[in-house]
Amino acid sequence: MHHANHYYGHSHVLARWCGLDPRRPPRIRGYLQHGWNIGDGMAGDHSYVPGVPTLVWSERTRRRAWALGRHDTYVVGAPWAYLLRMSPEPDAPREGTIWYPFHGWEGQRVVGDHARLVDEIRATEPGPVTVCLYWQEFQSPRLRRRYERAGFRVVCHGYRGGRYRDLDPDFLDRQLAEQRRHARVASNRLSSAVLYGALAGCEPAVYGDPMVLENEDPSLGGQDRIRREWPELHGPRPDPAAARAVAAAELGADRLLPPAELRRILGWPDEYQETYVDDAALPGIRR
Amino acid sequence: MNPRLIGGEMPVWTDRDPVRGAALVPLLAAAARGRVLVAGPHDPALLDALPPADLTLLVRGLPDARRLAERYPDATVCCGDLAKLAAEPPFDTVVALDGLGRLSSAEAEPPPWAEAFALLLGALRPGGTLLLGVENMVGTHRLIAFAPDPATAGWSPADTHDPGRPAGLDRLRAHLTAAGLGTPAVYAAWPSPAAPEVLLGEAACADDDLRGWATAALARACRTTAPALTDPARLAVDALRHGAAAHLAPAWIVTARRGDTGADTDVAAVAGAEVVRRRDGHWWRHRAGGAERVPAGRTLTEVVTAAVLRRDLPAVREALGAWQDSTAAGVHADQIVVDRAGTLTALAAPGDPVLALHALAADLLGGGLPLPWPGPLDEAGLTRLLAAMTGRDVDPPTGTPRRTGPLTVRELTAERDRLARELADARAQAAWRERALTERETALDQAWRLVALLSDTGPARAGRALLGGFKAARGTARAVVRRLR
Repeated sequence: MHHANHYYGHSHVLARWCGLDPRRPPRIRGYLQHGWNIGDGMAGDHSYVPGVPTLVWSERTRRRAWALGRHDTYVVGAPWAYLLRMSPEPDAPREGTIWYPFHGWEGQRVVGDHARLVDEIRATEPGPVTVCLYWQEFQSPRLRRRYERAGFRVVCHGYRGGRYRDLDPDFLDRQLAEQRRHARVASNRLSSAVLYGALAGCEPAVYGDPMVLENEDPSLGGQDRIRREWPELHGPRPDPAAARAVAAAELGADRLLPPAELRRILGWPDEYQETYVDDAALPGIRR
Repeated sequence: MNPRLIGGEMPVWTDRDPVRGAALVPLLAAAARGRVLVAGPHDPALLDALPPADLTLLVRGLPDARRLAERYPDATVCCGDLAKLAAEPPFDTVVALDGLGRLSSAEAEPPPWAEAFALLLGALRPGGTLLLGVENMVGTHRLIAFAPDPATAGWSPADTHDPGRPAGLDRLRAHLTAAGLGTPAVYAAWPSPAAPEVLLGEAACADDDLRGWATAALARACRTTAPALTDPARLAVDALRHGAAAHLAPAWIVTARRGDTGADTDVAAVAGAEVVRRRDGHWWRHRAGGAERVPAGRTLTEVVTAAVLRRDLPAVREALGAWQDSTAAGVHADQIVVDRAGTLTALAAPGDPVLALHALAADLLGGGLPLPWPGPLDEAGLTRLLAAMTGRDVDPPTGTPRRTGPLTVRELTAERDRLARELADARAQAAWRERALTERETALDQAWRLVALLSDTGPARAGRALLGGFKAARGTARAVVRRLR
């Protein structure tokens, strides 16, 4: 229903799980959580419509959402966890660390000392480092060069998409392929990417200056609370088993719904939706 | 002469709704010894279970007495007021399962409960057995009842305000013991004082091992479509779960022996079967053809409901899957006992599995529970979802839902609130969709116009003319420049 359901190709992944054509997933009957947070799982700047359920990743988020006043909330698990179930682990060695510097989203800006962060990464990481930037930052040659000069490989997983445009159905596939090449995943803030990595078999770590988001709202406790509530994932070398258990719980990996069941929850298939037409077959295309 | 008119008989009176129920038969058969007095209106099916030779029947209405005399020519049928029976020699067994309320005649001041009890006890010889029904004035049947019609309340409706009537189960026991009846066995009776179908002894009410069986029996016995304040089956099962079954039962059936100090309460009964706890600690079900162990555990409905409330969907999935993969797939979930090992035992014959799922869906929705699935969900929708949880695609009956439960104020109010909420939600969503549609139409309109302009085909002549004009102007300008050079 909401355009954010298509972010990162989430609806595409779920369509694949449900056995539907993933090229154009039907509207979801509900708002799907699209990133991990310490609130109700949803983005604060979206408008919500009464009676449209909120579909969150984990039981913990559901309980918290309830306590924050969002009651029409149900657990479906994270699309990432579904993707992992559908993508067998390749038989290839893992090496080095994939590092996600904290980033802002569309229209947001992060204030922090990237040079100091680079030093800290070099001092901590034992192997080669791949830095993954958000697309906005990846487009800044200056920022890219800063990490490249430190000897890091710099990648970007793709676009998030927005308002039904610039959708990137392969975003999570690229992210998974990248993470599975690495032995570690790290960031200066606990985020979806770190939880994703932990679930995908990387040893997670959260360290370094968490930086500040311009106009960041700390009303839910901010970074202090995150460190207190999720200590299992913080530090340069957290216990991987404990961290993975936390990641599985936060991503609802223990709560995935079988395809038939998920189809019912999402209201799929959309009985009005017509068969997807390839570009070449679009009406009006001259061959 | 049969019937014998002992005084106080009522020539044109008939007591309707005599106490009845096959579950009472084993108790009656076990208690009846020697000379037996049955006082008050009792269903012939119960009287048939008694040896007719030494049987005395007491009723107050003459038409009733005549019918009994005709049916039981070997019995002594007395017609009149209990107080006039004092002249009779005492009996070995006194049966008053209908209670004490319909033993006195219109010809006399209605006696308070304690006085009527003393009169009845006076008819019992020392060492004799008393079988008495006592209505619980705060039993579930009263808690769910609408206000009675004062016009039909009879001439002595003061039972609830009789200070001498034992208030509650504990005082009833104390009263019986003080009257020299030792330690009586008290059975909690459902669903009504007049027609008990389930009797649970004290141990049967309290033992967790029997809970599944007892829950199933209560769900079956209390199932009704009669109007009520709330669903009696749900209330009875709740009472059992929370240890209040004995105190909230519609009636108590007491068996007591004058001068006796011990009573066996490890018994429960339903129509056609008696369940007894043996020395091995297990409950065994006795019926014609032999005994079988009663499965210890909880009903599948309870297991699923508990998991639903915990939002433990994997557990719900597992329970539903085990059920639908078993031979009990077509048995209603409230008639299946799940033991600790997860083994299912069906207590009823199987029917259509889809209807069984539908019944569970109705039960979950009717309970007004917070469900772990997004709505709006009707019974058919939830049935499909429950089936999907077991990997099945089913086609449940749709259309106007068939009301399977009672028409209750609680459920009606909940349904009205739900519909009001759904309507408000639907209006908000319709407004949102209008806005979204307008946005998308605007975007589509602009996209089509752009496509037409860029493709140089289609009906965008005005746009082409615009572009054409621009191109022509550009061409002219270039030509002028070339000439100037």
